[in-house]
Amino acid sequence: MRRALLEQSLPLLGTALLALLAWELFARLTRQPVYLLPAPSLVAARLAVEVPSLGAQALVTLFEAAAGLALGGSVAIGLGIAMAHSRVAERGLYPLAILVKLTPAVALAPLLVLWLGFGPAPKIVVAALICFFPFVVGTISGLRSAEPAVLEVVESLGASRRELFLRVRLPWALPHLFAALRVSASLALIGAMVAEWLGADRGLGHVIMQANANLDMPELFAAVLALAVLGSAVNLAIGALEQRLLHWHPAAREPQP
Amino acid sequence: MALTGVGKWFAAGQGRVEALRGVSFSVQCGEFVAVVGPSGCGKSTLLRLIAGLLVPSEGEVLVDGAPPGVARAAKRIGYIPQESALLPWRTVLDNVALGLEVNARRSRREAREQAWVQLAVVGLAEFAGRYPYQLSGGMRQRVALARALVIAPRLLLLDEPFAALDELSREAMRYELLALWERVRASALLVTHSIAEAVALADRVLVLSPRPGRVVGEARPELPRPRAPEVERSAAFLAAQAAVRGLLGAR
Repeated sequence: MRRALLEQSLPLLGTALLALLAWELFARLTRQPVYLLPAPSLVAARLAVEVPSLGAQALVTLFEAAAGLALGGSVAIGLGIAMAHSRVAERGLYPLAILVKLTPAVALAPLLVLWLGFGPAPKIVVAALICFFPFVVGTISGLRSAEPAVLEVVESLGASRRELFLRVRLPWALPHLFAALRVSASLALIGAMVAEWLGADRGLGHVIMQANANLDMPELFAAVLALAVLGSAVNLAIGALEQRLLHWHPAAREPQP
Repeated sequence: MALTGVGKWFAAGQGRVEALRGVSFSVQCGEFVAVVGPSGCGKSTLLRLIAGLLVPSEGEVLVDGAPPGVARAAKRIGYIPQESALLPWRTVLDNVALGLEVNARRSRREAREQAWVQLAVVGLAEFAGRYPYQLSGGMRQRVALARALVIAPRLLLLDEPFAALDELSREAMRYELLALWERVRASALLVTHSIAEAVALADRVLVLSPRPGRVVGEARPELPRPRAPEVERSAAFLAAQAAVRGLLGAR
């Protein structure tokens, strides 16, 4: 098992090493100034020193994105439930949901910073706005995807509407909600970071802006790398949770891309 | 269980589609009745009306002398659909326990104990921990059967329960179903498009016309119980089959 994993990842490791080597050689041989393109060895050296502080900043961004996801996701699930149950609610709310989707949350960020200040609030709101639509769609389509035959059987046992919802519809929506989570999680991180660019005193977005202003490219690259690692970790965690909760779902039995 | 002058139509665009018209018949206590008819004659609609999942447009449906809603709330109806309709996230055992958990204040543990006994009866005890996707079609259908039987229903409603199975499992399942039914002595109403299945299982076979479905005749297979697969080679079986076929052709 472990051996197979190693064998599978060898080609990827090879290409990554080659790319780093090419970058290193290019930067050194053409004597690129550090403020334009630092050699990877320089970035690595900086990273080695800054892992604790970058980690702390990454946690700030992660918290903002997660809080936004929780906020946007729970509002969206609540409205999605209402829309899945009532056509009137759908007609009244769905166009608004689309409006939220079509308005780039990132474009609202300057306004939100103005309204909500430099703390975590505007970052959370931007992340929430980004997560909103995928969860609305996932909830509606998920709740409506329950197999009619199963609903009939459970109904024939005398189930109330509430029981039908809790025992059949909601679990049936879970795969759709996970799809929404997959899409939203990485977007929420990006949203939180962009909101940090516009005014923050902490977070990876703040680190990137500072490094940029100081022409400290090794720092900037280190922060970008930290963001990439954070995104991958979040993705892996969601994948693991999905395997655990949705092992019965056909999509979960095949490897995720 | 009795139907009196039951008709059902559905709105379709401007007009309406009439699925059933003037259907009257009854099922006595402990009787096994089959309804045969061409596809699209409203057979499944008939079962949904009796299960209380649909309301008739005219006429009256009574189960145990009360509207179907009462029987449903009292969990006297065991409904077995065409596809097994199991919950994919529940194990075999928990799918059977579902029958007991729904519409009852019964703990999962208590329900499981009873479900376990029922699983043993249908011969699936060793598969209790599996998930539906790990089972064959025939096994899934037996789980659906166990889920319906575990509530000790007074009336079994079977909607082409073996239609999705291959020929071999279908024939084996007929006699498994009969053996299980003889244990519980519930009334049973089976709808099917298989004449052989209807004759092999039922005391009475009702024949439905094409849409809108009406009862056009009735055959009584004079076959002794308990029945075994050999019954399908007897003269009485072939005669009953021919009678049903005649009714289907002679509308």
